[in-house]
Amino acid sequence: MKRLAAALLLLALTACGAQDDPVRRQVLKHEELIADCMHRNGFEYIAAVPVDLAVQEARRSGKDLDTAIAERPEDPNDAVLANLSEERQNAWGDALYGTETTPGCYNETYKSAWGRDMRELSDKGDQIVAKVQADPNVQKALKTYVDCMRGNGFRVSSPDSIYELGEKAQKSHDECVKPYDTAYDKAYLKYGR
Amino acid sequence: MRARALAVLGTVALIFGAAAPAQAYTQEVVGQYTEPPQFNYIKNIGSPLNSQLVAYVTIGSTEYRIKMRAGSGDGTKNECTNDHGWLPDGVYSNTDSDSNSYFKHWNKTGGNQVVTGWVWELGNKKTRCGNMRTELFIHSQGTSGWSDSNYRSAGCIKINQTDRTFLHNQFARSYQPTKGYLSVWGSGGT
Repeated sequence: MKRLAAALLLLALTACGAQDDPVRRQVLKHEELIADCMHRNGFEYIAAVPVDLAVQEARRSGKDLDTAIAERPEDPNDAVLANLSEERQNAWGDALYGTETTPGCYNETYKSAWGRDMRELSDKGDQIVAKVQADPNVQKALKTYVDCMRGNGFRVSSPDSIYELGEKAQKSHDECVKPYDTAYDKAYLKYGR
Repeated sequence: MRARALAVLGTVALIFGAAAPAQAYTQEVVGQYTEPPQFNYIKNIGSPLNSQLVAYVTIGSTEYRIKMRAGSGDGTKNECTNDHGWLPDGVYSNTDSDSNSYFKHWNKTGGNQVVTGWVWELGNKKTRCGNMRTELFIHSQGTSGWSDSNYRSAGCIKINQTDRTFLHNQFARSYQPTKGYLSVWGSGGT
């Protein structure tokens, strides 16, 4: 009975809009696999469009962040959790997210839902950052930044770790970093495509 | 921070190796967008320590959705309670009109040992009761040692170390990380 209710809720939530969106379809597929996994582990879990995704979709449709948040749907799993003891709530979270020794249902079902391994997705980012940092305009802007900071009494070699140097350094950084950020962003867009 | 993106090459071994601490994150491709990072902290009204941190991060021209378990506070669902309550609702940003709160990512080496390593410093936030919550962070349990009870904190957002490493790496590879923000809200809808 609970599974039927969950299926009907999923149908209703899916029908609220953006149902043809491939990411939403994929996320819902993952949600259903998670629900099956949680049920196998003895826990209730209702597959639904995640609240953050609904907010993101609303933003992309033109709503501002405050409106998108104000109009967000409820997460049906809140009600599931609210009826459990604290001990059982923690066990529910461990089953869903995993522990130090066992993977959770999110990760166990990830590859089945998305068809690939997370490791494949990260390499490109390192290549982009390397190209951006080597870009002549970024190098030039970095020199300008370093000179500007030194002019204000701070010997730094890059904008990294500026927050360790205290409030005065941060104020100087805010003044000096704009041309560097502009050059970095431009190069990022160039190499990131 | 950007320069260190390339230096953190142990991530995969940490995540998938036998001795890895807890991993709670998943990462999905959302689509082709170019936006600064958007972090959302979604408070679980029924169970605060089962709340979620969901980050939308653009790397290249692809946006990823990175989701992980995250606690806030010690289970107290009152944002007004200093050092115990969960994080006040609202936006934490370097670019909005609230000058008390911000969103700064750095490798913190001093102060409270628990709040060291890569952190997102959030500053201060006025609560709906009118008092100011101070020294707010997204952090892990220092740089080593973790048990699942560590999702409790003295009012910050807390994630496990494996997830923190992954999120840091992706953040460092992202487009316009200094223009990112955190938005905090409850999961209960209107």
